[in-house]
Amino acid sequence: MTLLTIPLSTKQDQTTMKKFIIILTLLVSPILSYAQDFKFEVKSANKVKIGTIHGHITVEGHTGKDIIVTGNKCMTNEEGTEGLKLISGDGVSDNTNGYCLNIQESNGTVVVRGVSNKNHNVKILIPEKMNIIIQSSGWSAKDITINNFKSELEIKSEYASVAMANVTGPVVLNATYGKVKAVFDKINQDRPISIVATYNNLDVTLPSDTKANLRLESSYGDIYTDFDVKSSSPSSSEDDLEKISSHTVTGSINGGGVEVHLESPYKNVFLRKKK
Amino acid sequence: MEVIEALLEKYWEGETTIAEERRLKEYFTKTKDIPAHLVIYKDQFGLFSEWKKEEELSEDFDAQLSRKIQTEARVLALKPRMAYWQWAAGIAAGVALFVIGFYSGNQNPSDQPQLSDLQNEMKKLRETVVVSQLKQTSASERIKGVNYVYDMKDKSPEVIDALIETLNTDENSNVRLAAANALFTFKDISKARTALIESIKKQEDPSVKIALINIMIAMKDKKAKPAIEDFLKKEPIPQNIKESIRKELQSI
Repeated sequence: MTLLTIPLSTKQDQTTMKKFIIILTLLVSPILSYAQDFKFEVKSANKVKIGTIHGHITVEGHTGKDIIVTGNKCMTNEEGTEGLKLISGDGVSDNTNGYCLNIQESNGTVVVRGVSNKNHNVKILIPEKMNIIIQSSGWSAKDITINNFKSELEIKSEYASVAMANVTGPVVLNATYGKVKAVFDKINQDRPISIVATYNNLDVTLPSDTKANLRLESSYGDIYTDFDVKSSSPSSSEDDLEKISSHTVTGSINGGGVEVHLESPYKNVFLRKKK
Repeated sequence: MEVIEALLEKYWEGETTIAEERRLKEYFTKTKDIPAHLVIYKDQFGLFSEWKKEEELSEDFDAQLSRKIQTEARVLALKPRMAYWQWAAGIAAGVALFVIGFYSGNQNPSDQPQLSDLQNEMKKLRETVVVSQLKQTSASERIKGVNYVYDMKDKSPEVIDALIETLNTDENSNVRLAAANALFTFKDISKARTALIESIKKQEDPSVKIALINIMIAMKDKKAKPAIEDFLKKEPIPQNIKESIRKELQSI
């Protein structure tokens, strides 16, 4: 800041100085904001397991090689905490500079654990090719947002709602009380997609040219779609009487392809065409 | 002459003694005027004498052999790719033989046992694929394994066992759910039926529980009644749904 107080003699000097300050600011600002993030270097793992984190978490794929945590730090200077460290029920402590997370890599898996029971919102950037496993339980877990992954996602969420976008599958997701919204990019034809929202609505959007064999189920709710589903269960067969329920639709779209199972036993299933 | 003819006949039947064969050989190699109807056999029996020459080991046989082994070893060492290529060609030939065997088996009713052997092999292979696929670490791989079952026409006990194990022990609810639905297609087999009824006691996830309840209702099996009643008593589901399940229960 002392730079600004240097008396400048000529007009030319002034513009040079301005330029210098602008360049200096541009150079320094990313470093400053980066310094607030926490960076975890991934050695060889191809999988990230994320446990319950109390608060809203966003997990996003990026092209970098590291795992980066940004968002709200949870550390407060509460009275009596000076000189102590926070530890969780699993006996781990924060190793992310105040994001209240514990991140460790072992046996090809990076494990991310929430350490504090206080609500805090974090965003975790993960290399987009790493497979993601999220296991969230307890009512204090808020929403989970997942964006930009071309890898496999395996999610079990008890109370948190889950929203995902720009993903390709395979996705295996089971949400008990939360609702689920998933918007897919061109889907992976190698392995199936299976999404279940037990007590809440399931809303899935697929590209309109998606080739898939569908199994849409809702025992006590309804199923809605704007796709042209070619039913594979002949409605006149005797077997019809023995169908699991009148609310299972099996059929193909765009000539058939990978298996896609979408189920909400107690609420509704919405399957939309991406517009 | 008649003796030779008789010996030939005996020879083709495969009943000649070594002495008798030697007799034939001598006749065809030493006789100058072989009758026209027997001359066609001359080459065949004449060959014996040449084979004999080859069979006699020359004095430097060992030296020749070791030279040959060395040369071939060098050829192999220089051309490992050639060896792989030959190996692949061998497999290709094997496959071709297999296919030919398959088709000729199809044409000849006496070869039916071989055909069913082949089918059994294929069935075993498919079973192995399903069972190993169910042990994959990724949940989507395991679901894929469960889905293979829909393409199988044969109801093999190994596959049913693997599905039951998956239904009761897989760590992922969606995989268990897929296994329950696949097992339902085996509902006419009592083992699968029993497993579907008993499994609800082992389930914690409500999505798997309600799927099993629906399956039990669809099977209309009286043995399932206590399990459904227990579910109605314990599961925190909306009252109107309880009512409708209760109604279904009465029709079992």
